[in-house]
Amino acid sequence: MSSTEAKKMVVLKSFDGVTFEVEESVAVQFESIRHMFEDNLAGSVIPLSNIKSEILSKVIDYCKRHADDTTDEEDLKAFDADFVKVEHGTLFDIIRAANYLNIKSLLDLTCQTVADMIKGKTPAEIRELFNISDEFTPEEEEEASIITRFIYMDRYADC
Amino acid sequence: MVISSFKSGDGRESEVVVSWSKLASMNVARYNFACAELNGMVYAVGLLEDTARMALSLALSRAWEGALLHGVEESTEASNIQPCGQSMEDGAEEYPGYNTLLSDPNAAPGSQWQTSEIKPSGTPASESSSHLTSKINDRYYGPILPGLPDDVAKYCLALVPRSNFPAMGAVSKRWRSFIKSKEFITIRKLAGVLEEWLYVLSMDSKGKESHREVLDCLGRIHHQLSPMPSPAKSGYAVVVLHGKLLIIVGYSVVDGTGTAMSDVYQYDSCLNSCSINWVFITFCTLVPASEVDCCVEYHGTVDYKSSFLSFLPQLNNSTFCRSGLPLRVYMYDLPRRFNVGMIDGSVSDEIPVRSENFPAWRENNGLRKQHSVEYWMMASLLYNGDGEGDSELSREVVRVTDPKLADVFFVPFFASLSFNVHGRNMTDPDTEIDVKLQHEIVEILRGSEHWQRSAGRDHVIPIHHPNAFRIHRDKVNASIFIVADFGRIMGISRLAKDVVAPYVHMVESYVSDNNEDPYESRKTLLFFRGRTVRKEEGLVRAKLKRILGKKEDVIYEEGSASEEGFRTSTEGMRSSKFCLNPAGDTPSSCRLFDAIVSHCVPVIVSDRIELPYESEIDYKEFSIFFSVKEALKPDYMLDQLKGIPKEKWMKMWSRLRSISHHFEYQNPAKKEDAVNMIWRQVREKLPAVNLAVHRSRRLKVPDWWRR
Repeated sequence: MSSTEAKKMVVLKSFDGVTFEVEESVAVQFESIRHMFEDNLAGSVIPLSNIKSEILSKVIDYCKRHADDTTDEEDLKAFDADFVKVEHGTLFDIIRAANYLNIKSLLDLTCQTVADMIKGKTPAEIRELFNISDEFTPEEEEEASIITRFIYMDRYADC
Repeated sequence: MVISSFKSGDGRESEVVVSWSKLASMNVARYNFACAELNGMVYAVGLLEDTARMALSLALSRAWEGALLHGVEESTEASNIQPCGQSMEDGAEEYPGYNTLLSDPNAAPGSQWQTSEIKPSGTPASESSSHLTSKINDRYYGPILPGLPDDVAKYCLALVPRSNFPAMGAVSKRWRSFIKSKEFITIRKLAGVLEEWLYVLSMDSKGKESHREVLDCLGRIHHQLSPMPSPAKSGYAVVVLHGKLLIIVGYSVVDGTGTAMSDVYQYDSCLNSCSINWVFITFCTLVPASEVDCCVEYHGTVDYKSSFLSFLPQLNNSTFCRSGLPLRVYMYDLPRRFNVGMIDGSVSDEIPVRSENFPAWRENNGLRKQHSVEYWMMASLLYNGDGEGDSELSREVVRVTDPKLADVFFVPFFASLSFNVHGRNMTDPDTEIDVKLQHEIVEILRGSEHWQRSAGRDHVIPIHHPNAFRIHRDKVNASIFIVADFGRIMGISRLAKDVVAPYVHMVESYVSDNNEDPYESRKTLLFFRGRTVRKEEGLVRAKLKRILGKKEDVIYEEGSASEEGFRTSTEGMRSSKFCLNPAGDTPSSCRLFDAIVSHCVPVIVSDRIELPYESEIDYKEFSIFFSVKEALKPDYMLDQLKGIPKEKWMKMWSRLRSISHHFEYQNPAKKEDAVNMIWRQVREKLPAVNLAVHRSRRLKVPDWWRR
């Protein structure tokens, strides 16, 4: 591939009809739709019917940054850290998009973020954060509180 | 030898909630375990009580490779089993066949390796069925993280550091079941976030668990494991399955007394803040002699190489292990006329007595019942329950058919019943039948090699009625007698050698004694009902009648041992604070045990009484004792009783309620009931019996201690 050759572009269309023109070098990170533009369909529009434009633009932003060989490691880390500083709903949207498009590094980053949110929280806090309904019966609640006591014990033992 | 396999399917795991939980009971309680995990099944190899001298062998089956629970490639590698402290036999590392037999030429003398074939005890759960389960669960519970597909949500959860797992396990059912699943471990492994941990379970020299620690891969102590539920365990084995420790309990030891257990516990490492991929268990057991007998390393879960342990050499030479076993009793096969033939004469004398044809005790046998200890002891040996439930774990005795394995020999001659049945009056010609039976028994015993070996010292003969075996008992008095007291057998019986057993009570047990204020509701201070005219020590009864007969708050009345009489006694004892137990014809009487099961504090006036299982029970905690001399001092006894404060009486009453089960005879026997307590007392006699037998067999001159 010669450097003079015009950069191959891929057009993506979001759920709400917004189109994005992306360099192929960026779009190759979208594992699940790679075959679409690699099969000589350059120029045609690839519909992404379950990703909102707002999210798709973020994802493209992320992939552009990660496709850029010139960015150094430190900057990239700082970018990532900043990238996931979004509200919970947006984060989940990005995760779903990353999962749908099969972008491994983005999935790792965002899932790790969710994991970090869980870290250090009590069961009640976790339930509230993720809107999980508390479906325990009273007996199970009792068992759960036994487990909570174990947590406390472990922390103590770690000291 | 029993080989069990244990399946841990998804359904069963979901039952488990807290870190330690009782997972299952095996089909039978047993001592000394080794176990291994193979293809999702846990194999436990252990010893039954009566095969204690067998050495261990283990056969491995590779027949189930097609039915892997979690098809990991490495699992096709056969497990290696290495007997304790021995090097592997040549060629034993890998057998291609279905069964592998290891043998050990250096095992303890007399041991033999046994071949066993493992057969599946159930269909192993297949991959497809566990998928099905998880799908159903997914539909039933909501999503793991609302807004995310479950596969992504699972990945998120897997990335959380393990110290948060306990909290996560308490978020929802869905979270908990996922964290406990094999899938969770697999995802963590794929994500590269698993950590290696080392579990150390070891015991101190008293057989107590002293260390349960979790170390990281550098050997730093992370924390102590939470203790296993219930008493200290000995002889247990550990296996790792799906990131959980399964503890197969051999037996528990409480105050030096062991009980075989059939429990299987599961320790869920995830919920107690650890995750396992490589579990590497070092499991040591120390015996009182402080030899480290077996120490073994175990790798689990991911690659199935395992080495493993046995506790076996202990069994032959350690008294510690022996004391943990139920008493092993060999019972003579006697014609029915010596025992149950006296209850049910309709069956031919020669048909062997079995559990199935053992006649029920006829309640209308009246007073014969109070000396029926012999009947209940025989029943406890015949009992061959299916090993379920409490009764199996609590049995103090097990019948062995091989006399070589026996601790003691039981002579099932109903001597008390024989006296009662064959002529009540001693001048009755029928008593000749009783005398003849006694004579025959002596002949049978003298002709038996077991008797000759020990001169009868390790034989157990119930002679509970004062006149049981009366003509020939002096010929068998080296044996352990089961007696009511020593009144008429002082010359031939001794407390050190014999066992005092309670009378079978005649009044009904006061099981519904839940009165909120029993002190106030029991209006009568002192109660006695019975024959006021007795021979010998019983003369005191007539004198007491003169002192107590007319007193207020006291019932002292003549009564007979009839149905009506027992009903009156039952009511009297239940409505009295204290029940008087003067000596009868002999120092003891059934009345004491009637008082105990009526929770009426016994007042014992019998200078030379001996009491059942006094090594285990302190009768002063729930009884009052007066010498005959004290009791005959006018007003002394009543003043003393009136001076006992309510609190003290309440204490005695509640103690009575907590010990009265020791005085119940029943078939099948229950935990620590009269029969089990008697067998426990017999066991206490063993060291002295063994000493005497061993000495007498080597002596070349007459015993110089004998006078």
